[in-house]
Parts: sequence; C-alpha cells; structure tokens
Amino acid sequence: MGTILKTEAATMQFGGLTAVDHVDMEIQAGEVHALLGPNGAGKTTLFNMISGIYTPTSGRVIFQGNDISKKRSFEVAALGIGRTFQNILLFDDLSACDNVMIGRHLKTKQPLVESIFWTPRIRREEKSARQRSLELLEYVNLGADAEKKAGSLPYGKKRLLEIARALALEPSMLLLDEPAAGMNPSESVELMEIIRKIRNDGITILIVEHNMRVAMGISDVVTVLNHGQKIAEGVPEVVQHDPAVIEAYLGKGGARQ
Amino acid sequence: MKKVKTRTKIIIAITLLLAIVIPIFTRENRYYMDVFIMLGIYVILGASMNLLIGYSGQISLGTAGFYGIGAYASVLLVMKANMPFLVGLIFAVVLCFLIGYVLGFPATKLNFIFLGLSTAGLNTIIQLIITNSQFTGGASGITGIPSVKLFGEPMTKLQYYYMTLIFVLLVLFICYRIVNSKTGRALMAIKGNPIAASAMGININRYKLLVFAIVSAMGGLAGVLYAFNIRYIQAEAFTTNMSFKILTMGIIGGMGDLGGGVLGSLVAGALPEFLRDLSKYQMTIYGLLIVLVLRFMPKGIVHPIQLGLDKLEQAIAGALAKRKAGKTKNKEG
Ligand SMILES: Nc1ncnc2c1ncn2[C@@H]1O[C@H](COP(=O)(O)OP(=O)(O)OP(=O)(O)O)[C@@H](O)[C@H]1O
Ligand SMILES: [Mg+2]
Repeated sequence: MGTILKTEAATMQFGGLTAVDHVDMEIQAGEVHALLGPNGAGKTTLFNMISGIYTPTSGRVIFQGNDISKKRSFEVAALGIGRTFQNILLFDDLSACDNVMIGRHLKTKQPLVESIFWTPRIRREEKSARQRSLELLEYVNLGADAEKKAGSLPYGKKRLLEIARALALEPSMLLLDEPAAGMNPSESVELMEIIRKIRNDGITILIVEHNMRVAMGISDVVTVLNHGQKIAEGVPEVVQHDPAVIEAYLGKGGARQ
Repeated sequence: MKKVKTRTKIIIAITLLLAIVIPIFTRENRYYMDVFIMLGIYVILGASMNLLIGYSGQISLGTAGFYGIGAYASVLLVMKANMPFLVGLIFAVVLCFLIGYVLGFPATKLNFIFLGLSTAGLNTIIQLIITNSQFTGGASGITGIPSVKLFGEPMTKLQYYYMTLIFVLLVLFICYRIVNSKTGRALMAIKGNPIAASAMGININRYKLLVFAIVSAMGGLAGVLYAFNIRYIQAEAFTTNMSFKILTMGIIGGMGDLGGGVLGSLVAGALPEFLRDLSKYQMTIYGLLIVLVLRFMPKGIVHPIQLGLDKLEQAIAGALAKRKAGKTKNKEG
C-alpha cells in the first residue's frame, strides 16, 4: 500500500504565533491515524493545511506523491481528500439528502447548458446522485432523516451527516475533526462502528480526537502535537505511556482526561 | 429532482392564463399594453436578480448597466448595420454575457458590501460612456428605432407583448432548470457556507462568475425588449436608480424563491403606476419597501401567501377526509 499522505516540516504561522511547527507526519494507506493533542495544539490548523484551506507558510504536504501544499480547497477535494469540520459546517437550510448531493458535486456530470435542456443523461445523473446520497445516509444510519433540514438535526446526527457528505466525494482519504465531540456515549459507539466500516471499505482515515481513550480504541497509529510541534508518534499502546505525552495532557489539557 | 407540487402547478396555470388573456381585452389601450410589456421586462430583471442574490448570495447594483448595454447594442446593430431584430437581440445577449464574465472577475474577490458598491460604480461608468459618446447619440439618446416586424408587418402591441411573454417564460424556465440541477445546488452551497462548499470540490469563483454572466445576459435581454418597445432610448433610463429598483424587485418577493422573484417584480414594477402622484419619491418608496419587507417578512411577501395557502390546503384536505369518513359510516350503518 505505502504512504498516502506525508507532511514535510509543515509550518503555519499566524503573525507571531506558530500554530504548526515543522511537523513531519506520514500516513499509510488503509490505516486509521489519530492526531492527538491538548487544546490549541494545532490539530485543526494542520487539517486546514492539508485540505487546502490554509497554504503552509513553509514545508510541504504530499498526497499520493503530488505536492498539494499550494492547492486550493476544491482542488484538494477533487484529488480525493474529504473532510468534516470541528465546528460543523452543514448547509443548514437544505435537506440532509441535498447536503449529501452537494458532496457528490464532482461525481455528478451535469454541464449547465445540458441541464437547461434536461436531457436524459441529466435526468439519469440526477437520479443516481439522489440514489447514491440516500445510500450514504443509510450507511451512517440517517436513512430516516433524508428529507429533514440539516439545521434541524440533533448534534450527533449533524456530525454523521458531515461524514456522509464527505464520503459522497468518494475520497481515498477522510479527515475527521473531532467527530465525537458533543455526542453521547451510545452515539460515540455508533460512530466508532461507522469509522471501522469506512476503514474496511479501504478509505484511509486521519482523525482528530480529544479523548485519549476513544482515539486509542480505533486507531492504528497516533501522532501527538503540543504547541504546534510533534511530540510523539507510534502505536497507541506505546504513545499512551510516553512521558512527554502524559506531561502535555496532565500539564495543560490534563484536567479534561 | 424534486416534485413540483400540484398547488404550484395550479398557481402557474392560473397566472399564465391571466397573462395570456387579460391583454387581449386591453389591446387597443397603448398605456395598459406598455405597462404589461414593462411588467414582463421587470419579471426578467427581478427573476435574474433573485437568482443572483437569493441563490448565489451575490449582489449587483449594476444590472441597469447591462440593461443599457443590451438596449444600445441591439439598437445600434439594427440601425447602423441593418441587421434584423433577432440578430440584434442575440448579439446583445451574448455581448452582455461576455462583458458580465469579464467584469465579474473582481466580483469574485469582493464581499457583499463592496460588490454592491463596485457594481454601482460600474453602472455609473457605463452610463457615462453612453452619455458622452457620439456613437450612442450622446445625452439626447437615439430616436426613431424601427419597430419589430412580424411577417413583414410591424408588430402590434399585443404581438409584442406575447413575444415578451415568451422571453419571460424562457428566462424563468432557464432559472428553474439552473436552480434544480447540480449548478443550483452548488450555488446554494456557496451561499450557505463557502468553506464547506469548497471542501466539497466546488470551484466557488467559477460559479460566481457564471451566475454573474448569466444575470448580465438576462439584463441585456430585458434591455433589448425595452428599447424596441418604446423605440427611443436615452442614458437616463439606465442609471443606478434603475438598478436599485431591480434590486427591490429581486428582494421583496422572497429571496431564493423563483415564484417570489416573479411576485416581487410584479409588485415593485406595478407600484409606480398606482402612485403616479408620488413619482418624485419613487426611490424613497423603494428604499422603505426593502427595509420594511426585510424587517417584517425576511422570507419575502410570498411567505405569508404560502402560509395562507398551506392553511387553505389543510382545511380542504380536512373537509374531504370528513366527508369520506361520513360516507363510510353511512355505508356501515
Ligand atoms: N486563522 C487563525 N488566525 C490566528 N490564529 C489561529 C488561527 N487558527 C488557529 N489559530 C491559533 O493556532 C493555534 C492552534 O489552533 P488549532 O485550532 O489548530 O488547535 P486545535 O489543536 O485544533 O485545538 P482544539 O482542540 O481546541 O480544537 C491556537 O493558538 C489558535 O488560536
Ligand atoms: Mg481543533
């Protein structure tokens, strides 16, 4: 399989603040890779650098052998990286199904002029986009909520809807930014099952998770950031006992554990 | 594709029937006919503005500029190059699309407020060029625009009205198709949340540019229909005041609702006819209208009507259900 994503000395500065500081990280295809670290460690910033929302101030991001550091968000999506957002960014006024259909944007072949003539091909595309979106909603256990407005869904379902929408891109890699945040225990368990399912379907997952125990339970490899720097990396059992990691968590974010 | 509700179909059918039949009775009255033709033109402008604001979240205070370009381009082509009306019309629409596409580039970089300001500036520039150029007849404009011919005969007002109606339907049809396809979903995504839209692979600038150009082309079409109806054009008809009027039409009906766009255009377009005495205050009235509607009916004047129809529908369904229940009871008894 080999490496699917690699960051090389990836750095992001906001004015005087270095949010991500020379981070080297390698993610193998097919694995679930967790990104851990206390509040403000730079996890979301690193996600934004990978997904093209930010351009790294220095260093590189390499996806499937191509340098994507300077690519914009929609281009990164087209290359096969889907993502969700820590602060949930759904299209609230649209139905759950429409949200997922928007995720199928690149997979739906509907040139504008042809759309106006509503040719058989356009109709077929529309039908299959809807069909596939409904399947994806089923996949994340939201089959019954397809016609509800995204904004009206409870918190946990919104997170699942974001995952379905990202999967609609048919990505080879999925970035999940704290997907369990705000979920109750039974929802978290459901989420972990869905994540395993996605992984078994061959999609590489990079997941940010605040909660050590949750992260340890589902991931093959863990990278820990603190103050923008990578302080540890390896299999969960080892990283868990790393003194630097314990200190980072107990020192500042420790109270949350 | 979402199913069109029966209710919507009924409303469309009734509106269309009225739009076809009423003018037959007023065909001898030039004043009414001009009002009806203008209303058709307003619907084109208002619906396209609704597409721009309501679906893509952009704004333009420069639509009257394209309205003007459409009018002048077609008239000049027809008068100076002796081209048939239809050629002038197509030329004007394509030209406005291209100009909209080029001038739209900065638009993709600006936020809502600055886009409003810069399109207003653009409108003024277009108007100044028209006023100061010999080619466009300067400040006195162009008179003696030939009438449009049908089978060699000049069109009657009624015929011209029907031609306008056909273009109105064409524009609405195109808007409808755009909105209900991948393109429309992309626009709604951009308006709803640009960051998420981009993460879904939507090239935001490309789509913003595309709608801006389409809306410009529709503005140009409206300009052509306007010019060949009154057969006299002058830069003053294409000022930012007109753009503001078009904005009002696009907003008050209900943003992001095609039917609302049509309703808003008819209301805002017909209003001056009822308030002839207050024509000095036209802009003030439009301003007030926007403020009041946005304040008290953020979903537009179409919204309370929809709610009313919902209730009516429920009442009818309820009555029908009761009758049915009554019948079955009778049978049993
Ligand atoms: N756009 C920005 N401009 C300025 N500073 C920023 C910006 N985005 C993030 N930061 C700063 O960078 C640092 C890292 O933030 P980031 O959101 O990446 O942390 P995180 O690890 O995701 O934290 P959390 O667990 O709270 O989500 C923080 O100090 C934050 O304030
Ligand atoms: Mg974060």
